[in-house]
Amino acid sequence: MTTQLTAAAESGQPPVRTGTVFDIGYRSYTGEREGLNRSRLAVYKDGIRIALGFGRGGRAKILPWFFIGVLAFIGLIMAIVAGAANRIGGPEAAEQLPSHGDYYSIAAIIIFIFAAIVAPELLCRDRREGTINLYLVRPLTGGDYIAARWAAFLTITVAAAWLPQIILFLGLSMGDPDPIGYLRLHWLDIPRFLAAGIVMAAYATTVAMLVAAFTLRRAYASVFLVGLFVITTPFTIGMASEIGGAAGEWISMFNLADIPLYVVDLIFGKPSMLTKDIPAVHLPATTLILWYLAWTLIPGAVLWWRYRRLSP
Amino acid sequence: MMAPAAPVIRVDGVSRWFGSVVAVSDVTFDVTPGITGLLGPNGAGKTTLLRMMTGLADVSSGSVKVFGQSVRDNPPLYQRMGVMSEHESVYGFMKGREFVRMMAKLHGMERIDEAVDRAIDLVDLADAQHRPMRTYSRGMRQRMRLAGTLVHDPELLILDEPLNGADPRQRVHFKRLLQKLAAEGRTIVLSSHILEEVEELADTVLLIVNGKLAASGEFHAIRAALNQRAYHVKVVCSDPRGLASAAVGLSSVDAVHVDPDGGVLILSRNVLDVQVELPRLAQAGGISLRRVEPLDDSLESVFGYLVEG
Amino acid sequence: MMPNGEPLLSASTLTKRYGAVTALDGVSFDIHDGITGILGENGAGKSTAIKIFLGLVKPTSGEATVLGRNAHENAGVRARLGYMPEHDCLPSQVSAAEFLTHMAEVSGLPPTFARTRAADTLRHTGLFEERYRAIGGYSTGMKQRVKLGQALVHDPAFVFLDEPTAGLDPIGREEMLDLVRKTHREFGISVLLSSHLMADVERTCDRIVVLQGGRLVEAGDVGSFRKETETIFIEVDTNLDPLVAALGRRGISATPDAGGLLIEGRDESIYDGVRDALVEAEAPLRRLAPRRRALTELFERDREPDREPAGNGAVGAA
Repeated sequence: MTTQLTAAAESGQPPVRTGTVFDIGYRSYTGEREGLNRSRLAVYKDGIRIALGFGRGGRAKILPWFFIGVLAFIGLIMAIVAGAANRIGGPEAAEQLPSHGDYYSIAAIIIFIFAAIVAPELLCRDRREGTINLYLVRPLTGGDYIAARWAAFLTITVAAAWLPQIILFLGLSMGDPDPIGYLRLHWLDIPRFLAAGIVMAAYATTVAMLVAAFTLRRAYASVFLVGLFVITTPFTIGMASEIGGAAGEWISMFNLADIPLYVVDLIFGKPSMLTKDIPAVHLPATTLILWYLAWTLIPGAVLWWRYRRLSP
Repeated sequence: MMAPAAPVIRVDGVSRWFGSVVAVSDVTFDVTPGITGLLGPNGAGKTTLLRMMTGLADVSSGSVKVFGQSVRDNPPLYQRMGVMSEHESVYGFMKGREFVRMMAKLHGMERIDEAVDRAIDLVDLADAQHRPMRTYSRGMRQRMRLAGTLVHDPELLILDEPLNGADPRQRVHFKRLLQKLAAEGRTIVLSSHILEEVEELADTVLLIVNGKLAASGEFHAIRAALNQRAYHVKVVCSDPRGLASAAVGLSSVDAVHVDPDGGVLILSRNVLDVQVELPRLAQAGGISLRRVEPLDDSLESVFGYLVEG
Repeated sequence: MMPNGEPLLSASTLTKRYGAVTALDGVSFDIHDGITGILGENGAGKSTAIKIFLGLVKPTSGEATVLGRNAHENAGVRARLGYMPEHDCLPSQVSAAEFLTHMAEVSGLPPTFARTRAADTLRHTGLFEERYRAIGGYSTGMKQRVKLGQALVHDPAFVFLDEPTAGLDPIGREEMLDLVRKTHREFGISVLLSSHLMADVERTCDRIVVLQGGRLVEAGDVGSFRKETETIFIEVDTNLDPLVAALGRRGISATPDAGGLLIEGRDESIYDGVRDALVEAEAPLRRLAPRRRALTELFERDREPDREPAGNGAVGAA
């Protein structure tokens, strides 16, 4: 309600002067209240903001953008080298070089380290500082929260996985003397690398978030994940070559950094340059796919279960 | 009066600075047996002062003497002191009794079990003593920590917000415990923000504002010393307007306010005059006084006045 | 708001067991509009009851509704509830303005409204320039205001405040209690206040609910609990003995107590006798008031929890 204090002029010509006092006291909220989707979207947007370091000053942006930069850079280098090879030795020479199918095996470790360092930011802090309790008393369940955070990090990782491939594709097609011809020949690469990007990102996101869901400290989660991805590699490779044979194939399956790469290979139809030497590559396709799904869906289920059960 | 006993704690001209930040500035006071309340807003320098009083921090100037000796780097003195600071985690895996035993051993006590039993009984936690402390509620943890502080039967207790998290019954119990300990001749320094409890417990108070000692001594005496400040008294009587017009006639009364509910609020700078004149005015006017309540009499009001400056 | 007369919160033979431990044992009570205090010792079932109302915990049996709905089955009703936890819960790297905006959105407000509501709420809870700085640098008082702010930003019908004055110095405590009163009286939001400090409860609450051992032992108006006794307390600065003598001459007996005098009996004639005695003895009158019971007295004696609540206003067995 506004209160009009009117100071009227004396009779005659002078204009009426008025003054108004506005009520800036508390107002009830009578606007729209959107449902669960608004809540989820808010947590999702916040997840993106946290992962990319927005609103937290320069230092928070260094790591995520550095990794994104490195990933993009690798794609760029591959494109430049292929372009140079094309000019010097012709298309056949370029064909020998690593391409879309090989990119992920080259960049996998970077993607995993990116996930190891950035994913815990989305989960650990809220639990450590107690903010998760404020989420849980809102019209949101623990399951909604983790789904939104997972989706946010997945979005970023997928984008980070697609960007270099897009750069590579553009580089290769423009480096080719006949770009349109290149496009017509190689357009299948596009849906392939898009799918492969999702395969890589889903695995990295889920595993990284699972570890982050069980510790309050980001640093512990990150170190553990880096160890998980980096250390299992030489260990399993060593053991696999020692033991050899079918047992060796299975042992090399436990190289966590390679699990999604077999599926990527299947998408591209042939083992990449770096994976072709791994014994596990010889296992049947269904086994490799099921193995990947086990390592993505089961951690995902545990992650979901963990957050559903959270209570202040 | 008896000759005054030597003070248990003597703080003399103590200052503490950290670079250009002066946390405590030229503070001097004595602490004698009984319960002394240490008060002050957050950030006023209380914690720094407490740390200096317990020898955990050094003074920048001045001296702190406990039982007549310098408290800094003087481990034997800790035999006679029990200190409980505000935030301290306990080892969750430890059982309550184990914790108190550990404290007893740290003080090099003999006949530990007796002392531990006694301390745990004092805080009324005999039932819970064999459970790990992570199963305790916050109030119980505080009480067990207090048992650990008391186990070596110290003459001097310095307690910083000991009642954090304590529920009403625990608070009542704790107050009685402190009163009992003080009655036995101990010296207790209690730092707390809950002024109504300090008002009830403490014989004397020390108020620290911005690193300086703003007031010290017996609460009622401090209150009386502030009689020059504005004094508000609310009166309920049989004839509010009659009393109000009579009161306005007093030269010591600055203002009179009549509430819609009939209460008369008198504002004055001369407490004594109002206190004496009020019944006289009422008698002269045939007015019945039902209620006379000073509004700035509480420790809280005195505190507020002194802190605001 | 609720249709007239209906309670905002309602517990009906509410029971919660955790294995062998019974946290709540068949508790029934209603909470209406206003500021209600919920009291009880640690472990009496207060936090369990609050968690059940907020829908975070499912009762073993019985029912708890908030605004007429069950918050456990219907998470949406939490959009109309606010909660200010006792423990730390604020993100250190985000500013208060950003945080409240985000929380408003999480409670279902569209982004533009979330922003304006956040700004208004910060103003109402007394946070000004500091609202753009990271919360990690705030003092305890400012943090408590942010905690209250996030409970209010989405304009709830009801807020739960858990030890809102914890860690605050006396002035901060008074300011927070003012805010609590303001929340109801100016903002029109009802409050359930859980506190261990009886003075906080006395200063803000209209009604109280007391739990012990998982059962309800008291429920009623604060005013009735603190009702005046038949005893008058007088405090004078000097001339105490002459006053006692003057009272005696008028047939009024007085017993010394806590720095003053207690006088039994409260019929009208006593007041004038006291007044005249004061004048005769020239005793400067500091205080004259009927003794009121304090809420702490509820906890000063050992109580047996009754199966039924002691009834409105009446205090349980002495």
